[in-house]
Amino acid sequence: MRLPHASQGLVAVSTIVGALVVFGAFGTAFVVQRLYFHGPPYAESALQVSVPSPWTSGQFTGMDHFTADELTRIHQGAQWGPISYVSSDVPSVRPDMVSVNAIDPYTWGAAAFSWRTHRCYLILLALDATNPMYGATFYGELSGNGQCIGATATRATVTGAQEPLE
Amino acid sequence: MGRIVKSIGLVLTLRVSGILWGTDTDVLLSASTPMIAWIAVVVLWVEIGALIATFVLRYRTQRRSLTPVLLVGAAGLVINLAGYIVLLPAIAMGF
Repeated sequence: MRLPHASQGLVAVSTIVGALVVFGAFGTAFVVQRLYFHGPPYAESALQVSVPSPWTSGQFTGMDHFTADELTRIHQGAQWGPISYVSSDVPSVRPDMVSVNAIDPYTWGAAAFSWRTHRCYLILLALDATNPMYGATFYGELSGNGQCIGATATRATVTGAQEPLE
Repeated sequence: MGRIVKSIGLVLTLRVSGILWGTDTDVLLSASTPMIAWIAVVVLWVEIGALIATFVLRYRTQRRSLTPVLLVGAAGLVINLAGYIVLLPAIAMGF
């Protein structure tokens, strides 16, 4: 059936307007989904922002004073969101609960439990004792069976150079 | 300029504009205050509203020219490009 010219124009403009509205709805849904339905927080990102800096005004202050109490006091990683810091023998049961293991001035570890994978993720900052300007961050993960405690994050256990997928 | 060329130009303009808007929005969502991404949503609907108004006006006045729509699309592209340039440091850093 052949439509009259005016109807053809109406169909065309309606189709274009409909397509634009659908595009706008998709764009809005994209933002709403990212803002409000992003799923549980990532344990690994909580661990990343939990790592404190041992440098104050260019002076090396060591890592061992960054205990759970100290990190709570200085609101470490507050830009990520509220994080609860607990001592190395208290298990993390959620991503925003970080079990801290301040081992020595040059070694600091932590663990956080992921709701996404039901695994425990570990992070370890290991600095060079002769020159703490240098060092590396290591990553590890544990199965969900054991306790997710910071005490498991040591130089011997956390050796991965790459962050595992969460 | 031929009608087909203008049509292709309009489609390309809207496509590039959409890609730039997506990149800008992604960066804003990664900001420390992600609620700022609502600005991108407002910009999107203003651009879409302007395009719809131009299309409807074009239909009601029975004009066949695509130039006004092309100009409105180009204005949207410029706005999204300006956002892209402003956010370029964050884009380059991989946010």
